[in-house]
Amino acid sequence: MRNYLPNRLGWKAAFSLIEMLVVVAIIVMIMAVATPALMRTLQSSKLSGAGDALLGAISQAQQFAFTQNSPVEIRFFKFNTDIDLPGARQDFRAYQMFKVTTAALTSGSTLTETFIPMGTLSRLPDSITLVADSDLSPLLNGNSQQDTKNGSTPGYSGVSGATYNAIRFMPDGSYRVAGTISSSGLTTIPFAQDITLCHVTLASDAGSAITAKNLPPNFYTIQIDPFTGKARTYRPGF
Amino acid sequence: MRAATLKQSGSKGSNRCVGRAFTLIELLVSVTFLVILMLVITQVLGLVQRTWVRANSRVSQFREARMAMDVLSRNIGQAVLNAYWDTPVTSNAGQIIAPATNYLRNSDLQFVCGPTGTGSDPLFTSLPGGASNYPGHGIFFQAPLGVTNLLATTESQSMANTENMTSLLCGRGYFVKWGDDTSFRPKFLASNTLVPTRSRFRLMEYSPTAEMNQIYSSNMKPVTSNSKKWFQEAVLGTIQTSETSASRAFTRPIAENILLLIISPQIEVPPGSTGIVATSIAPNYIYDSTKTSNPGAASVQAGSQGTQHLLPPLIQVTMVALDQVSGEKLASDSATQQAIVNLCGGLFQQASSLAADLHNPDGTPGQLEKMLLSKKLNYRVFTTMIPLKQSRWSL
Repeated sequence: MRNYLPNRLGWKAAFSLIEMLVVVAIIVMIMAVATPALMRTLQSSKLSGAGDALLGAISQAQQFAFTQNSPVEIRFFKFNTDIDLPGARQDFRAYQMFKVTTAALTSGSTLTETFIPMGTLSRLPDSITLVADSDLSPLLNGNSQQDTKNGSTPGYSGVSGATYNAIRFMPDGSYRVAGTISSSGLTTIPFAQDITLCHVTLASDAGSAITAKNLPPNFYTIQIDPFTGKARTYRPGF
Repeated sequence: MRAATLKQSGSKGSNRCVGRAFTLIELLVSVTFLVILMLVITQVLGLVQRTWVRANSRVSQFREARMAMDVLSRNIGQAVLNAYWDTPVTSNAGQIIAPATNYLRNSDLQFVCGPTGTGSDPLFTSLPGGASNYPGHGIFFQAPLGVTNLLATTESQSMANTENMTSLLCGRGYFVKWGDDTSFRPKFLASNTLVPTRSRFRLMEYSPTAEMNQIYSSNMKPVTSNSKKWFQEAVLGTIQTSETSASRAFTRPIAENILLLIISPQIEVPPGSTGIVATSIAPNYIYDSTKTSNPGAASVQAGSQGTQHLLPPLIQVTMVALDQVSGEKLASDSATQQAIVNLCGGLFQQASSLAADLHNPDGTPGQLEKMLLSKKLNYRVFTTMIPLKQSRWSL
């Protein structure tokens, strides 16, 4: 105890500036080491969340198509990553489900398709993107359509100039990539691709276009069987 | 100790109060304490993480198994035989039609279940890669499931409208297969080492389209003498990388990490009745609707034809599912995988010993469960009783 008594000058023993600096420096070092790991964890949980949500939307679309005996489409909207920057990179950032009904508006007239939105627009979290690359997301590389609502923009995505790619779930459980919309208003449905090209990939946005070459170490690939509609996930570490 | 240090510092004769330094012992004590604390923290963190991963994989994995179970019960419940009464035509010089002598139940369709590749009467005569890749039982039947793949002739046309064809008769089958996913994983993963190929036990679904229903093919008729022929392609036509819309493979995986499928055809036991055993129509799990009685079955009082061209009233489906982590463990441990397959090959041959094989009624684990527990594999057993709507008979 005696050591902690006031010394000759009457000051209590206290931390010196040097000591404080050392402690602060150590704290800063620990934080510098821990922050990237923490950020990675946060980012990966964000990615899992976004992937699980999309997986849920896919099985919901399938279920709707099955129970309502009508095709259901999921549209993936692609728009500028930065609204303030007109020339910025285009990226898939949101998706929504639509029920597709085909009917002749008046008897004898040609068939037309009408799209009834189901649920609300789902936005991917910031910094998570659906990769547009043809190797990583072949399902999103068909013909893209202008996103319009009743013939005018902005369409369902709420962003003017947005385009979308869609996949359409059939009542028997299968699905197809939606092709071009003909002048008569019917969507052409291309042949199903083989199963090794039936997936979409979610990844953290790295600021530049993601390809198979610079794929980040953490990604979330959802493969959808074209005939049974069964969705499987492929993730590093699983 | 303190006295000694004080004396020492005093003995230096310094007039300034020098701050007392930590002694080695104090330092050692604090370091030891720190180490213990860190060990405890690491252990707790590790435990939390392990529990989290396990709970997570359990929830997500068993969700897949549950969904597969739903698909199974929905489709098996719709099985049909479309049986009719028929009299054998005796051809007298092709002219005179003799009067009908006796009417027999007949059907052009088949319902069959039993061990996929083991036992006295397996479903498949030859299995690519050997019977050890196909543990447990399989089930094959006909049901109005309405699967079609009517392609437009050119790609620019839209697909044929199959909206009103929801009840076309299709063949359908389920069995478990061990294998890897190289033939159906996304192409870009071939050059990516982050996701290794996955060897797993998978529940496979054989779902040919209505227009490809083999049972009506002329060389498969009559089904009584061509039993099981219509689905032999199920193990050959598994999903391939080379498939196109026109040449789709009919056998596709629908759930991963399904270790075992056990199908037990049963009859309803009226309450209060004695002497009726539920599994008496298929004591060896083998049920073939083209046969008058199944192996081991006592004579069933359902007419002179026995159970020929009758659907079993109830099907008990049992599925043993592993979680993701255990599935991964099994893939890297071929000795355990082989041991399980060998064990399953000997078990599940007698419906009466299902409890002893799997899970005893008193709560103690059966033989398979004991094995899984000793190998520290996380599993769950799903069981459901599916009534067949088209089966209208009982004892």
